Amino acid sequence: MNNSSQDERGDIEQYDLLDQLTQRLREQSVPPLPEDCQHWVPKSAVETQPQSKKKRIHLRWLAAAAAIVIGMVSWSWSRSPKEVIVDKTPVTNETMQAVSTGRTKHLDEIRRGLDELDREITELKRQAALLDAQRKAEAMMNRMATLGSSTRSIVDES
Amino acid sequence: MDWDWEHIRDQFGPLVWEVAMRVLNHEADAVDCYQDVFLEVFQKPDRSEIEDVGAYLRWLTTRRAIDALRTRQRRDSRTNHSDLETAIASPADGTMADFDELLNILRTELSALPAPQAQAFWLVSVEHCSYDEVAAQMDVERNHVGVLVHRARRQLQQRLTRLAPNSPN
Repeated sequence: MNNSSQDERGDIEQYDLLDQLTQRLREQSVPPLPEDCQHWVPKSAVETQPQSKKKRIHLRWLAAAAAIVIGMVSWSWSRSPKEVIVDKTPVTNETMQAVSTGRTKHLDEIRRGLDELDREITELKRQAALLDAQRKAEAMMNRMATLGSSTRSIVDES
Repeated sequence: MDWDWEHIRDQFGPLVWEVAMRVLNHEADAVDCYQDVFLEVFQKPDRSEIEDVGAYLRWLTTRRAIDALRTRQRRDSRTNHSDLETAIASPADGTMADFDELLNILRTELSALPAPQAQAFWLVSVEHCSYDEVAAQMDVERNHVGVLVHRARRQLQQRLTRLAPNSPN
């Protein structure tokens, strides 16, 4: 009962609010008719679209075209090489020989580096194996020491 | 009736403009609506049958403006109901959003109503047209106008109850 009366009161309040809103809409001040509308007659626009729409469509096309142009320019700019160095030295047999020698030299250096790396890896593996063996030996010694002390205590008790 | 367009524009232009602005609350949209309404009347083949030009223009403007409002609501994806719900009450002190926000909410809800309900509600409640005038323009029975207005008010009231449980004082 109480709920229903509250609901009814809520309904009345919302009806009041709705009436207030519609009244406000009715009384709200409206800006004056724009100048171009005051002189606008449908006869002049009948074969075309309304002027503001037409303008807006033109502006949209213009903005789209500008965006495309800017995009294309920035894309081509990003794709273009920033600095091009052209070596115009004529390629001779000596040059080819020098390039070939230089390449062989670099390859030899790389090979040597790889061999050295292999050696270091082998050495590290050996050290790791030693460390492992050492750890195992220590563990065994600890176990033997424990066994020794426990045997000694048994002997002492007996 | 002799359709002297300059005379009609001077006589009814402000009426069309005011109705469009009241519904849309947006100057550029109202200009479009104003021009669309006059163009539609200009291109209407049987316009000589219009008896009351003022009433006809008022109804047509309401109809086209509500259509434009609906289009704008669809277009404007940022404005959705959840936004409105968060906009209507401030969480800190529970005070209501101001009347202008409520008017915008009313416009949004109006655009969600079926077109005949929205038109009948607007013409009767805001434009203060009589049921007979609205019935003549909408080409329906007088009683049916009452039904449309009642349904519209009921739906709007329910939406307001949900969105604005406490009306502003």
